[in-house]
Amino acid sequence: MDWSEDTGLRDGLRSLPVPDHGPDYLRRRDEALAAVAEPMHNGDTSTHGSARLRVRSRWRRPVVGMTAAFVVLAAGLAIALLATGNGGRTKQVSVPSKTAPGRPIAGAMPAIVGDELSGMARGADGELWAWGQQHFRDAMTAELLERWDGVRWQTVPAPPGFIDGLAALSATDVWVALATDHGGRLAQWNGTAWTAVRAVDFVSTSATSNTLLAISSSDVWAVGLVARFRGQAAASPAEPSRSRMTTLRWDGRQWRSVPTPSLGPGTADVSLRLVRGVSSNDIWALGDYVRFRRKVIHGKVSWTAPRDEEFLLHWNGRRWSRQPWPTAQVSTGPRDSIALDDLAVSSDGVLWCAGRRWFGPDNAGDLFVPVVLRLAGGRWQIMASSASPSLPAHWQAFMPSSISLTSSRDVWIAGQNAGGSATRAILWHWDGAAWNVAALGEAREPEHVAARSVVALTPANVWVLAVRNSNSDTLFQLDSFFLHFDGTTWRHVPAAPQ
Amino acid sequence: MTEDALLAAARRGDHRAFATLLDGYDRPLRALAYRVLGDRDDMDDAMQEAAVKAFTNLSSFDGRSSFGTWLHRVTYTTCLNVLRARGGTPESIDADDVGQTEIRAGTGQLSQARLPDSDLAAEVSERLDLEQALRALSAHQRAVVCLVLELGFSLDQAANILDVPAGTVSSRLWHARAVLRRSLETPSGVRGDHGLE
Repeated sequence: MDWSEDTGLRDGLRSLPVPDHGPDYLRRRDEALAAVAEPMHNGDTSTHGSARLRVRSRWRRPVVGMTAAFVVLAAGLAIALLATGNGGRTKQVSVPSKTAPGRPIAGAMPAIVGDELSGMARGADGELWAWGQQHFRDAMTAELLERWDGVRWQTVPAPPGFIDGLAALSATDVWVALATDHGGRLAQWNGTAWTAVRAVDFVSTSATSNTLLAISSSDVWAVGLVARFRGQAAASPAEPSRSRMTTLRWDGRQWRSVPTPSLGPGTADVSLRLVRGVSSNDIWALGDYVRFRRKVIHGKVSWTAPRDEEFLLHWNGRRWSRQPWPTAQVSTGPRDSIALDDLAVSSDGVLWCAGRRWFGPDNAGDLFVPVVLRLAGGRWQIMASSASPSLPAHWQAFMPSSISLTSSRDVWIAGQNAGGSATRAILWHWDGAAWNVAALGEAREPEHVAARSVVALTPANVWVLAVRNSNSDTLFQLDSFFLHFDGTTWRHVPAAPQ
Repeated sequence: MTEDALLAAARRGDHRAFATLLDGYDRPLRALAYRVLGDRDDMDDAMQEAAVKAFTNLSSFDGRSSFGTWLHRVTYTTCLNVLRARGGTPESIDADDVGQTEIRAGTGQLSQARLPDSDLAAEVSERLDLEQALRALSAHQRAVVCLVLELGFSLDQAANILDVPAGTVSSRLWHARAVLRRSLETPSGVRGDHGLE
């Protein structure tokens, strides 16, 4: 079996045995369920085995502590949900019916069954670039790269490897970050051909956010990780680190490594996954790692199971420094947590972030609300969120994936509504005073439509990349399309023909 | 009886309806729990605890994700608690457990396939290689690999289950793929680099 392709790995994993339950499992489980069923009727406290369970008769939904921003946002959302088509500022965009899968390709290549564009970045002079993968019927994949030339989306020959980031200075000066089985590559497109530049041990790390940033032709940044895999992941931070984050900078002649700050003891699997910025002395990078905690029992040192944590770095033109995580300033309780999904920087240096917010662990991990944050002058401010998990279900289910802005009065956030058995793409827009919501039509069950990326070039030139999955049980019935806003109306723009 | 009807009955306290719901997701939940924990007894303990936890917290499930996604999330968080209760790091799976599992499974799935002896030996060997390679991953990486590559969840769905951003799922998947491929890849058929440099 060829393990080098995802196909082989996927097939191998799916053929792995999963042990059956032990002989008494079902009886024990059903007895345990029966034991807690009776007290549930009484809304009482129940004990089963060694686990003491607090049974809630009804999920409490306190309506307290809403921020002014949330009230504004909720009002905007209400408009969106209740609009009959002639009120509010909601834009309802119809999602066209799914195109037929299985388009044949000449020659020996298998049929394409899906195009999955995963990222989009602005180029020069109104150009846009989008990248992702084509899926074939036998589960093979190939890279997909497209360019908007002002008139239509056209396919550009993709370099070999997984594209994890793209930064375009012009149609003839484009950088991509590639992940290959031989490590990371940074490749440059001159309008005709790709040239790869080997960067020592560089491995880009994200297929869903941009790991490249171009400020000028002599100031391009790449973030990711340096991998030193030898077939083992770190078992504890006591071992030599197998990977660390990296930032590389292109000065017009070569890529150079730029030092990053230490994250302290007990960290492992450190990587950076996106970089954003507007000038050479104001650049932000977002990453994540796992943190082990040391404990000593009877004189024996061991490490607790790691926790996932994220971190934020800022480049001020001279060095990277770690920035305070927003939870420290905006949390409402000691167990609140915030995860960021994307960043955008305005020309006046204000950082905008879209992410999700949890209110402690006592909720089976299911109670998050979307959150939009703003960092200016070292102070975090919540621009949209709830102070408690008390929002309507359809509001809470919004999962942001991308944020883009032209100013602090023109901020766009794309994502999806994850509730129910069908998902749909959702856009939020901040006009400086209020949030407005644009729903990209109703997905028909079991269809899933997700907005993967938004790029606002001007307030009247906004692009959304969306991916539709017609079968949630497989990754391969996918097709991608674009939506364009001209300041007045949205229109559907097809991806490049394959 | 539809899932919605079973769910409604379970919300009213009908534990048999809830057990029926669980049975429909048993195989993928077993896969997730076993890949994370690496031990059948721990898998059963975690699944039983997750079943009770999900049943008693059913009122907190309000349809923002699918019921299946929510069940996977509850199971995953319970598995992490089991790992923590174990007191050590969740990184490695006991080699004896892997071998025993292979033998148990070998009398089931493989014999059903009626493979020739040589194919059977090759397939068992490949499975052992892969099981061995999975041991090199952290519990978090094993969960991502299981959810996305083995069970076919999208990155967004996996992010929902694991309570992390989709970008984190993606980067973990990359870490995991890199480890697995370096453990398993053969010199031929390696993707990438053709025509570059």
